[in-house]
This record gives sequence, structure tokens and C-alpha cells, in this order.
Amino acid sequence: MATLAEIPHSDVRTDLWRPLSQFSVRYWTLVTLCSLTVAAALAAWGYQIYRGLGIAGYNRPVFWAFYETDFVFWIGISHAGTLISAILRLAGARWRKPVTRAAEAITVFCLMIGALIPLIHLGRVWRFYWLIPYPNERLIWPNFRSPLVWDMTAIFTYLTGSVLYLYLPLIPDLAELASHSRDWRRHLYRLLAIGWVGSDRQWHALEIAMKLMAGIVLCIAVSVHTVVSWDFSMAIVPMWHSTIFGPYFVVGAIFSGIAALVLVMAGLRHFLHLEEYLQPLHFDNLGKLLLLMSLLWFYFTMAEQLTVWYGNDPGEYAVFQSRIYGNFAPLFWTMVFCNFVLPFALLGIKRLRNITTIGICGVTVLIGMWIERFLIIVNPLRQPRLAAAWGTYAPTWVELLITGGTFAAMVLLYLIFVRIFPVIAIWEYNDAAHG
Amino acid sequence: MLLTAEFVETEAVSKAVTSLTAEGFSGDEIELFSDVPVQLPPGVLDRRSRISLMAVLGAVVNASLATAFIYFTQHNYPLVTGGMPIFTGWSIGIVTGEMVGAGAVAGTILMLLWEGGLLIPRKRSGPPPALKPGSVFVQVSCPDGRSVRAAGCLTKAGAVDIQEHREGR
Repeated sequence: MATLAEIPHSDVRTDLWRPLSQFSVRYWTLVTLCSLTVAAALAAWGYQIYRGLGIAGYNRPVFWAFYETDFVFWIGISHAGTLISAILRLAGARWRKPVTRAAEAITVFCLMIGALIPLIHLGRVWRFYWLIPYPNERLIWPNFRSPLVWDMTAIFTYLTGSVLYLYLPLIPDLAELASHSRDWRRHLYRLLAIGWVGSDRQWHALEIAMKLMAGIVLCIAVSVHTVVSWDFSMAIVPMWHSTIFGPYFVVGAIFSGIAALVLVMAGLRHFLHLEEYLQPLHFDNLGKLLLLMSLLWFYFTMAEQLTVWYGNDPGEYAVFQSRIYGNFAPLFWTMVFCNFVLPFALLGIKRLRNITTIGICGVTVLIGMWIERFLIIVNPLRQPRLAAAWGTYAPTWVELLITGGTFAAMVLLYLIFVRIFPVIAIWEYNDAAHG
Repeated sequence: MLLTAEFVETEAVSKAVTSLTAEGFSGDEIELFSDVPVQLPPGVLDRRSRISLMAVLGAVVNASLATAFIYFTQHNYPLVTGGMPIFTGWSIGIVTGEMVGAGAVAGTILMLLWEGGLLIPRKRSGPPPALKPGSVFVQVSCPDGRSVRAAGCLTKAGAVDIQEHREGR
């Protein structure tokens, strides 16, 4: 299957090493903007620590809001790398080779950001170690029933697995970079290459390890987002206590992950001039995957709403009502438009499916998925079963700034990554194109 | 004596390894070096790996550790719970499940490092060749003066360059 351009070995190396040494004004401008936003978000977090969580807009009965939305959103996107890369690796899809590293890097950075959010939500962040189930001489033990302990265990495993899953195929490239670099880069690459010499024993071990890791990480990824969904579905809050939440969250996670991957790939293609490597075929294939996930997401969303509507439980129906034609209706219908209507129209019609429209769908799906997470969390919390306890919620500038900061942090981490490591696995590309 | 031969075609590498094996060289005495993985036909320089086994072992060990942790927490911690367990069944399932995954990852990585000679380099009789794009290097260790026969096999198979090193350098 001729899916990869047959570019000579030396040209592949030159093309993919170029971004490591060339720094444009545009790059530094973007780095500065993102750094300033992250700094502002950190300052807002510092202010929140100083003043307490009260300034975060939490108000009875809404004590989970923007931060939890961000948490579920980023953990969801993190499924881009592991699931897409692992599924395609296990399926033996050759076209995946220029795509996988970009996806795996998304996973690691999203998880880093996602894992930080429970700490932001903790308020007394210096007590973060209470999340860890450790024995304590002062008889203060963490609450093992708390979903925070589940999340901590799941995210720790997933982050460890994902970092290693990104790192393993980097090793051969790092060894090659070490022999062609100077200064601090040479030391860094040599250190990270951990003695790789390219022997058949090493290749054999790496291939087996990568296949195993793909299988393991795939299981962990599915379990992690299922655990995140259980944070909600284990509670008897209206429209949370649902058996469908596990697969619904996993589908949403893969959906938003593909959208993020499409955007990152479009950015890399444009800014790093990787047109020969990230071809329309890759976008077309990912566009089809995005369409499939959009249909699945719509099916789950409708199943969730229809069951509540037909069940007619008063507590749940009140939430449903406010979602469909009440206070939250504008958000709900925007979400449906972003996640289903637009992708269905643009990706479903072959003539309209191109890099630009796939990129547009990537943006709208990310917006739609953030709204979906917000609706899942805030809408039911605002309207508990007892109508007398209903309340309101509005985000404050602190929450908005910290949320903006997470997006800037993601871009910043990626900008740093593409300047230190080749964003496409050179050996995997050569192996696929010439092997 | 250590011979390092450079090849540009995988078929030639396969031929060289087959004839070296026929000459009595074992798999441990032959090593290939390349910048991309070399796919040899089945039966030619097959390497055994225990990474899968270690992944399963790692998962079992971690599951046992998680179970022990939960058991000792339930029984040794003097918290008054009115008969309720400290851990719920749900938490036990999640914590154990995730620890199984972490154990499998740890087993895989540790065995990869061991089998690949990464971090703790395996003893080599000579320096590994500097890799070249598109080339495959076949390195043969000839401890008992069989270098002439080995060089003959490599040349006949189509080696474009053969270099000799003294072992231990």
C-alpha cells in the first residue's frame, strides 16, 4: 500500500531534524505569548491558594465546576495518543507512522495538565499527599472510598505507561541524534539513548516491547476514562447515576483526542513544512475516524437523553428540561452543532472533506466536547433532586484564567517538544517507506 | 578476532547469516547492526525473548502487592468504622486493576532494558559499528581463528566492506 512518500533516507533526516535547529520569530512570539498566559494562570492559582477556593465561583450546591470540566476534558484528549497509536500499531496500519509520535506527545502533555487540575481543585494544595494511600503514624488516613484515590491510581499508571510508550520508539532516533549533535543536545540525547547501538537484539526487544506496551496501554487508557466516568456515575445526582457513562466517556475521549490530533497535525504540517510527510491521506483517514466517533458520540448522547425523557423521573427530568429548552439549552444545542451537525455535514460528504474542513471540525469538536463536560458536571449539580436546594453558578476570572492557562500550557509544552525531539519517528518512517 | 561486514541488501544479510550458521557459528557469535529493524526470514537468526513472560509476572507481582496492601489496611489500621470496611469492593477493584497494568508496564520495560543491553551494556568483544542509513552491518565473533572461513561467507554473500578488529578493544 503506497501510503508514504518514498523520500531518500538522508532527506528524511534533514527534513525532520530541521525544526530542531531553526527558530523563527513566529516561534518565539508564540512561546512568549503562551508563557505569559501560563504565568498569569499560575499567578491566579497562587491568588486562589492565598484567598481560598471561595474565589473560584463555587457556591452551594455547585462545588464541581470549571476545574472538573478541565480535568475530564484534558484526560479525555489524552486518549489521542495511546488509543490511536496503539490501535493502529496493533492493526499494522502503515500510514500511521508519521502520525503516532505527535499523538503520543499529546497524551503525555494532556495527562500532565489533567493530573495538575485535582491539585488546583484541592484548595489546600500542600496536603496533596493525602491523595496517596499511605500508612500514617498520626492515624490520619486518606479516604479510600474517595474517587480522588481512584483517579490518582489510574492517572499515575496511565501517565507512567504513556511516557514510556512515547519514549521507547524515541530511543533509536535519540541515538542517531546523539551522534550528529553538539553541545548540551549531544549530552541530553546520549543520556536518553541509554546505550542504543542498533543491534538486532535491541530491535527485536524493542519491537516486542512496543507491541506489548500498545496492548497494555490500550487497556489502561480505556480503564482510566471509565474510572473518571465513575467519579460521577457512582453518585446519585440526577443524570449522573447512569450505567452508560463508562463507554460514553471513552467514546467522547477518543472523539476529542482525534480532534486534537488533527489540529496538532495541521499545525505541524503548516509551521514545520511537513507537507510531504503529513499528507492529505492522513487527514482523510483521521477525518473518517472523526466522523465515525461523531456518530457514536451522537448515539450515546441521544440514548442518554431519551432514557431520561421516557423514564420521566422528576429529579432527572428537571435537569433534562433545563438542558433541552431551559437555561442550558443554548450550550446543549451548540454542543450538538459542534459535535454532530457540522462534522456530519463536512466530513460525511466526500467532496467537502479536505485538510481545512477537517481542521475546522477539529476546532468545533474540541469546543463541543468542553461544553459537553461542562454540561455533564454543572447542569445536574445545579439542580439536585430537592428543588429547594437548587442554586446558580457563574465562573470567576480565576477559573477562566486558569482554564486559559491550561490551553496555553498545552501549546507551550508542544512547542518545546518539537524543538527538542523529532516529531515524526525517523526510523519508523524509513522502515515503512523503504522496508 | 571480530569481523564487521557491511551489506546494503537484506537478502544478502540473510544469505550471510545462513552460511555463517552452516559453518558452525552460533547465534550468540553473530550480531546485526542497522538504523532500521532488519526483517530476516523465519529460522534465520531467531532471537528468543522473555519480555511477554516478564509482563505477566510483573502484573501478578503488582496484583499481589495491591492485595497485600488492601489486606493489611483492612486488618491493621485501628479506625473505628462500625463494621464497615475501610476499602470498598469498588476501590479494591480499581486500585488492583490499575496496579496490574502498572506491573505489566514495569515488567515489559525492565526486560527490554535487560534483553536489549540498555542501561547495563552487555559485554561486547568489540565496538559496535557506526550506523549508516540503508546499510546493515554483520558482526561475527571468531574466537578460535575461524576468521578466514567467516570472511569467506561474508564476501560470498555480498558484503561491500569487511573490517577486522582485535577482540576486547
